[in-house]
Amino acid sequence: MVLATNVAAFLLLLAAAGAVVRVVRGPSVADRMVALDTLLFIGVAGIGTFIVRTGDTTYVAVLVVAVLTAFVSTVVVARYIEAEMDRR
Amino acid sequence: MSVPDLIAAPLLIGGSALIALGSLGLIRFPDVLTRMHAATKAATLGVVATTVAAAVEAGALGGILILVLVVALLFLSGPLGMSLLARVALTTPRRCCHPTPGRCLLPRLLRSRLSHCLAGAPAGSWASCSVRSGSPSSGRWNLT
Repeated sequence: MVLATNVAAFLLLLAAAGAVVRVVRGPSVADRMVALDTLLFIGVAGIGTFIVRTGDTTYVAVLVVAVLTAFVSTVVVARYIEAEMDRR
Repeated sequence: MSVPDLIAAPLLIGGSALIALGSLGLIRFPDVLTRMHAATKAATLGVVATTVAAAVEAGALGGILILVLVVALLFLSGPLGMSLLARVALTTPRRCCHPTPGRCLLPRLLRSRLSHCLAGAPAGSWASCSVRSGSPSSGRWNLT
């Protein structure tokens, strides 16, 4: 299991680097929001990898909070873009 | 390796590979909707696979139940939020998806390495990143 979790952690590291590149570069607010959402999902997958590695379920509640935060932040940014357009 | 290990290891590696592929699509695809397509489908399935692997490996019953709740929340909230964002990105005119105003996010040292992105832009802005005259769908959706 050590090998599997190491491989998974490496792949998640690559994915996080890609998402950060899109957050920094991505031209519009929507691009950045999609990338930040992916970054939060990568964090959820990282905590899942930690649970597989150790069998410790202490951080399971963090997963629920992170998923709900991703949803709420996506909705809020969508509303923000819409309101920004109505204002102009 | 025990039986839960044999179930969890392929789920874990496959899920992480799916997330990495989704992130690759996030970098490579040309506009907002295609990036959303890569990030939402591949990454959501990858996260669900990783969470199922964690549920297989988790020792306590309460932890397993909360992980099942996380899977349900992922399948509910991911498409909902992204469809809202896609509707906004699709229906608003060109000026909606302008580059985020403000100064460059990177320190000066890194900025010189990204000069291809900033070429011709006013100092400290990301304006030239938004110019994608060669992008196939920029004329159709007016997004980038």
